[in-house]
Amino acid sequence: MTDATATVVVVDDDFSVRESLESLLRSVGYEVRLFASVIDYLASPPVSGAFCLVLDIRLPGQSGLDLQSELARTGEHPQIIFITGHGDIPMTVRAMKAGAVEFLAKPFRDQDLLDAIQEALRRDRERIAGETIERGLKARFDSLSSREREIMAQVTTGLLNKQIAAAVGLSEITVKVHRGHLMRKMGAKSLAALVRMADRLGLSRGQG
Amino acid sequence: MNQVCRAIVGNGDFRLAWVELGDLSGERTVRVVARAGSAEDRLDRLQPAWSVVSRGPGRAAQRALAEAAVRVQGSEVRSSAAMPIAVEGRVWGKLHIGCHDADAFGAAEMEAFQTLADDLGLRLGAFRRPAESGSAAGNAVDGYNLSGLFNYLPDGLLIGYRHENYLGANDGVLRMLGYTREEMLTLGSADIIAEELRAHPSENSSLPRTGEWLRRECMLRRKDGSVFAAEVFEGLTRSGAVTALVRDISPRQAAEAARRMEDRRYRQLFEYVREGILITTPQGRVLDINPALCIVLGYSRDELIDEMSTDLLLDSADDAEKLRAVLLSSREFNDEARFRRKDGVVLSVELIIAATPDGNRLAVIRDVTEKKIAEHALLEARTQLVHVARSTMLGEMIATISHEINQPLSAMATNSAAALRWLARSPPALDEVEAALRRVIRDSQRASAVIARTRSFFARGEVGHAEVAVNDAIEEVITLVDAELRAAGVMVKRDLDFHLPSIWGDRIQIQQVVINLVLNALDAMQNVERCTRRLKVTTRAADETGVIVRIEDSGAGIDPHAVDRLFDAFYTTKSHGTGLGLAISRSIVEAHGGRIWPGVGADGGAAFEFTLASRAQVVA
Repeated sequence: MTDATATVVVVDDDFSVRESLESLLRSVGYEVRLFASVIDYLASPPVSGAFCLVLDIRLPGQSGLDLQSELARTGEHPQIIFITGHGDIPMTVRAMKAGAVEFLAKPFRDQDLLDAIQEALRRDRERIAGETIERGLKARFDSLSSREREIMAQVTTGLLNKQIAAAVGLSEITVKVHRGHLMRKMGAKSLAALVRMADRLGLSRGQG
Repeated sequence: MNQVCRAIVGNGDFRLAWVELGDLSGERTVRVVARAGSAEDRLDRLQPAWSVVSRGPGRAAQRALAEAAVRVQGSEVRSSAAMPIAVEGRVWGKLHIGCHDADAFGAAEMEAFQTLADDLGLRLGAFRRPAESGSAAGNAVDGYNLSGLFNYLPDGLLIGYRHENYLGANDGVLRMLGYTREEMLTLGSADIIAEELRAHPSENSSLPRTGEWLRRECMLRRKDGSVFAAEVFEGLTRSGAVTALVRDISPRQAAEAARRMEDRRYRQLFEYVREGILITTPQGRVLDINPALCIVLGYSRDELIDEMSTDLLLDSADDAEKLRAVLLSSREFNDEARFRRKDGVVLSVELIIAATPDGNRLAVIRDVTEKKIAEHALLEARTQLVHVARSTMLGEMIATISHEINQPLSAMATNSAAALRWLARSPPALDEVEAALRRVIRDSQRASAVIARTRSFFARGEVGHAEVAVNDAIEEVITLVDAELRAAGVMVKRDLDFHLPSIWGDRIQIQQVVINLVLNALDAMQNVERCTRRLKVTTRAADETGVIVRIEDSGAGIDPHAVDRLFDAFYTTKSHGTGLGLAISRSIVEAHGGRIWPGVGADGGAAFEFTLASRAQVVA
């Protein structure tokens, strides 16, 4: 049904709820990991591949919301679906503002949860894909010589070959050759594509 | 007088001198009271008789005792003379002188003897004054003891002419003023009178007329300079001398002043006291009423004076009858009664009735109408508060219970969904379906257990007062809030005494107290490390009080500044507290014959203890 590599992490202190979720999620083909508390989860090895969190808001010790903010502080932004026995509006708003995918009150319809999980995993895969592209781009940028990187920075700020030649003290012809090399190395088919890559790499104008 | 007589006899040719005094009161007898001379024994045979003579020319005619026939047989008396002794113009007796020679009494002798007689009259008058009864005079003026008698008088006695030095003073006045007799006789009235207290309009009127007494009050100065209030009775002798009887009235004045001050104080009390005061006859007729009571009753003083208080003031005829009996009986009364104000409004009053020393009745009345209303309102408010708090507690419990039921319910829904999905697989994963369904059964049992527990909790709430097993009631409460406690990571320790006497009360109310204290403990531990959150519940049997329950937490403890106000309604230290929990808890505990107090827990947190009276105590 869904791709078999995705993992759903469930953190809930109630064993009935935990067991039922495990069964449901396995029945649709997800990898499931169960935890009774935030501490248990944080102590476990990280999940590889796409995953999402199903978190009970009210947990012994650190609550689900606490975990959400703590992860945000460390730069992780996993996709989270909150489930709760007694959610109130302020709690919901806080969770959603902090980027939660969905907020479900127990008992919820199984399809609502599965839809939310699907959405969460889609977003997570997007994140993974984005990270993959960036990693490739970075590798290609790293393969450039220092002269080529310098010229790439100048080109992407919109300077003409003649202007670049004057700025770096090379002939216009040499600049043109370097430019052809770096376009090929970066895999850029047009100047516009090269500019987009420079943006993604964080080479802003004026940077040398 | 004997001295006078002896002086006459021993000084010249006079053989015999005696003084006769008449009894002026009724019997008109004449007695010889003093005598001297050679033939004095013969006077025993003298038969003085009562008669009237007029005395010498040149003076106004005076009534005098008769010249008694002198029949002194065989005596050498050839001639005699008698001088009237007058006291304030009345002749009391005579000075009789007999002489060996015939015609011995010339004008000079007569004048000299008259001076002597006047002097005797002066002395007699001075003595007689204080006891002017007439009949005693003859007996009292015994001549022999006259000055002695003066000295026995507690009052002071002074004789002298106005504006001159005193001629005589008795011991009494010397004691009073602190002078010796010699000193006293060098002084005049101006020396001892410091101040007239009742000033006389004129100098003239300060002189008594002959035969009258003039009473004056003045401050007299003692030798040492101190002054005292005295009452002075002044009389004028025929010779113009003033006899003054002096009486120290400073103790009496001080007593009077004190009494007047006391009267004024009581009057002031009567006027200003906030309690109503009513003075009536034993029949209930109003003699006096103070302003406070007038205000309370709406009547003016004049409207009530002389009215029958029982008829006018009491609301019911029965009360009036009862109080009439109380007033008549003079027995004390201290009870509540209902009065009717002038405008018809009925007042609740506290009434005290007592007999006064003069045989009337004193009623002290305090209007407690507003207090009664306030008491009633307080009771109402408390009932309301208990209701409010119970609703609040109900809300808390419903939140807990719904969470308790929601978990298995949610699991059941998910398990069922999972079962369907395992079933829809091809081939169906039947072992997964079976496991899911078994979990559904288990969770449904779990949910129904929560419901059963809740129902037993509420079902007993309808009963009201009944026998309550305190341990069971506490266990039930802890179970109800168990989820909350667990969620907060609180470790609960029970130390229950299994030999508790059962107590008599409202189970729900007692559980409400426990829930309040447990939830307070939970709140108190929000700010401490989770791993140190401990709640301890202890029960103990107490001989005197029945049962002691102690609930302690490991929070920060009670702020010492808050201790005094802990039980005040609407006092709270929590941002969302109602401030009613402890107020109501105390109200409930007290209604169960117990009390509640704060303390310090073993871990330095807050502790609350309360007692509940055992059934035996309540029934007693």
